[in-house]
Amino acid sequence: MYAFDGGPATSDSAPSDQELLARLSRKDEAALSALYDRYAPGAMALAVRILGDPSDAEDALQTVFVRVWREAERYDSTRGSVAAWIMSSVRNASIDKLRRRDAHDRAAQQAASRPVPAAEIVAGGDTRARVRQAIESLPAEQREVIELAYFKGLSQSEIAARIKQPLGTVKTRMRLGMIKLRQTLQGQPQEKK
Amino acid sequence: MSHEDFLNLAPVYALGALDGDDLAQFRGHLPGCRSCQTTVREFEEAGHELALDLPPVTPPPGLKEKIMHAVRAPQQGQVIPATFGFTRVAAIAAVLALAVSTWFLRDAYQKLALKDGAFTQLHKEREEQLSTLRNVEADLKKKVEDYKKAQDALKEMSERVLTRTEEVARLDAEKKRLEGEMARTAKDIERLKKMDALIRDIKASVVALKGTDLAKDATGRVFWKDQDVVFIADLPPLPAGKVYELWALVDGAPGPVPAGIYDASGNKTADYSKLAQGAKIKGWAISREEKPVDAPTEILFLPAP
Repeated sequence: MYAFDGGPATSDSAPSDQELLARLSRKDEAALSALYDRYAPGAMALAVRILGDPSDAEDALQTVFVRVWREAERYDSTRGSVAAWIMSSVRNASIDKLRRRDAHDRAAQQAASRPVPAAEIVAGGDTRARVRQAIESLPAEQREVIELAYFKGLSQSEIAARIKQPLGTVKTRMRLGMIKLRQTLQGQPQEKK
Repeated sequence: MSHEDFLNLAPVYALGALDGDDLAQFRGHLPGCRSCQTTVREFEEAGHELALDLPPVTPPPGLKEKIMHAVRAPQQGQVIPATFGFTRVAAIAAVLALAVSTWFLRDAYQKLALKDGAFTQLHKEREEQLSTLRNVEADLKKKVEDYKKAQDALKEMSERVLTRTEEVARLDAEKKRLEGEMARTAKDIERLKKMDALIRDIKASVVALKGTDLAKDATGRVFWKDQDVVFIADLPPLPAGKVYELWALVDGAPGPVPAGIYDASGNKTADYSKLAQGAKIKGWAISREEKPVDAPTEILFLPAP
């Protein structure tokens, strides 16, 4: 299991991500179903966080999982984990959709302020607590630039313009924050191999 | 840019936030640097941990089924019922044709998938270029605004200069007018001084003039010495287009000699004189004429008896 504790129950006999990907290459629908159950709640959370609109988030998820089905054989394990591949695809699809929307700013504001309905939230666990702790350990200004880049898809120049800080300052904050985040999270299990 | 510099850019690249020149240089460096590739991958993994901070959200109930339906769609084949004779052969041929078509479709689909990947990369690059363009556009907008402000300031300054120039021109014209007036006044003063000197000169001759039947109430007096003449008069107003002409009665001359053109108050208005130097003047007369002439027509004044 990658990290989303709220996902379907797993056991030691549950197939690994790599096994599911191998079965996907052979067009095994059950593998796609299992992968969906494993990652859809986290992917939905990320898409809703970026897009603000659950309907748009649903479109993004559909795009990503259909692409995973079609491009499973192109997955290269040396370039990152399956979880990172899927979450990266969700983020890219969401940001593409966000940029295409006319009311970019309005949507971004909604995304930042919209509370996720309690009924939709799947209970979190140790992994979330660990990540939360890592993020909270970052100075506010480092967390701000990282979140603007990751959740809003802004470039370093756009961030510099938005927070009215020199470009060099933005790059430094981003670098220091990411180093700290990586160090804090290092050594934690991220994926079932 | 050194390897250290590229390593420093790796976290920003992993977040997808690198743009402009930095991005171009990093992309040029990355394919040949295994260390940077590893670092980028590590930061990408760390970046995606951010998503874990979000409370998981259960997707809508129908989404999974929609996805499964979407992936099934291209695989669904056509069922050919088995019948008799020719129909069966045709059905087998159709199945074979379908199989061959499916093989070609699959090949085409794989090529399409590859193209789709390339398209995704191109799309990402396009977004980055758009971002750069947006920055350039914002910069240009600011420059245009600055230019407009400078243009407005220049226009305002130009208007002020124009107003000042008009003021200077108006003052210059006023100065010229006053200078002309001063010159005329100085000339009048000079003339009046000469008249005063002549009137006070004990050696000057004087004669009172008397109106003829044409102007019985008119009066006048002429002072003169040598060529200097002062004429003082109270004559009837002149009709439009007429002038008063002063005449000298010179000893030995066959008739009156023109001595100048005057207005009703006795002010000289034209220096029309044919008096010769040293002429011996016996008296004066005034006539009313259309224009300066050499022989009088309407005599108004004659010397008083």
